[in-house]
Amino acid sequence: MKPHVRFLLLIPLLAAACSRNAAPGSPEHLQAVAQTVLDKQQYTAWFDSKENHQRREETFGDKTYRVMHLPAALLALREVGAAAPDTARKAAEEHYSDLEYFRLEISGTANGSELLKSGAVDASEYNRRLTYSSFGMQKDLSIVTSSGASIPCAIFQFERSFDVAPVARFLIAFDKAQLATAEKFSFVLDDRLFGNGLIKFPYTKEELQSTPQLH
Amino acid sequence: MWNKYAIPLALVLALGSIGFALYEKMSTPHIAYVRIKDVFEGFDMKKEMEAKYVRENTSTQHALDSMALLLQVQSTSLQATVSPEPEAVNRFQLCRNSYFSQQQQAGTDQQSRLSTYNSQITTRMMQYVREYGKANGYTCILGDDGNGSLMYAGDAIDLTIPVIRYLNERYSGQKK
Repeated sequence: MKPHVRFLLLIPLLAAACSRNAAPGSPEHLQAVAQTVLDKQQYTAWFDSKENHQRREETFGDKTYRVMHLPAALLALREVGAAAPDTARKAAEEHYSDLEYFRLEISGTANGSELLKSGAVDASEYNRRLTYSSFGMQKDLSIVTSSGASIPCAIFQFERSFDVAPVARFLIAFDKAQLATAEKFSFVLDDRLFGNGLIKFPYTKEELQSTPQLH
Repeated sequence: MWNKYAIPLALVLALGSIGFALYEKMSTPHIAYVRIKDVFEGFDMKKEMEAKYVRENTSTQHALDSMALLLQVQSTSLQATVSPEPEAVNRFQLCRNSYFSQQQQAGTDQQSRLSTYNSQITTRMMQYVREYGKANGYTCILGDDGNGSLMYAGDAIDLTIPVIRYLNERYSGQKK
């Protein structure tokens, strides 16, 4: 067989090999993810890995905004721990089932300093940021569906990191029933904390539902 | 004999041409421009921030209108009374002062919000244009602000439409 004919025969094989490593978020990838069964440790690790298609990231200046969807199963597993029996985990999962949870993480580059202090000219600006992060930010977070409907934030919690790392984390939840009707939507933050304005993180219903199965 | 050298010679010439074309492409500055006003107007973030600004102003104006109506009612009532009580006059004056103070504050807030929003939109626009330029191999993208800083540029290097498209895709989070 001539060499170029042999090379031509290799093309379908290469294409098949490539399709196994489908791009994150593609229908093939989502299908593969949904069929994956992981043990408790692998399941938790998957959400922090680059394989997780439910992570979104945007950088503006020296601030990076990361959004991650947190399914009820993950929250329940983290709450009861890997050693807990499945019945306890299932009960905890039920507790989280009415809402759709997300984690928003804002990080900066100021090493060893609290994020809210970065660029703050005085103590009053720091205090204003702190109050806003604890109470005011909730109204600046929403989900906007492709039909233009806006779903307000139902639960909001600011996790302060003090001087451990220049990171601020927020746990946010939206009504699952309202979200269930939207095929496409965006997690929207109107950033008044660092003045970066409207920031959008798009999701599809399929992306949100495609998570690995817990063994 | 010629046949023996023809293929290697053709290969050398082809590689040389490709190399030269690549060198030309890399060494020639790749310059384009955008019409800043059109990009700004076409940017979805500007449209959304504008709608938000109008919403916020309308809400403030409604509160001021309610206060103005209350003042008008009080004023009519005071004018209808032959000898109004000093306490009622004082209350009216306090309300009027509060109204003017809030009206002034609303004007200042409005200006401050406008300036903040404009700055946020411009910063974002510049970041996305920089990304577009880098991703598409431009040496520089000039901004035509219509004030004569860019005297002439041909339509062939006008990136306004593709840049608006990129900005809106990027803003909606669809493109990275």
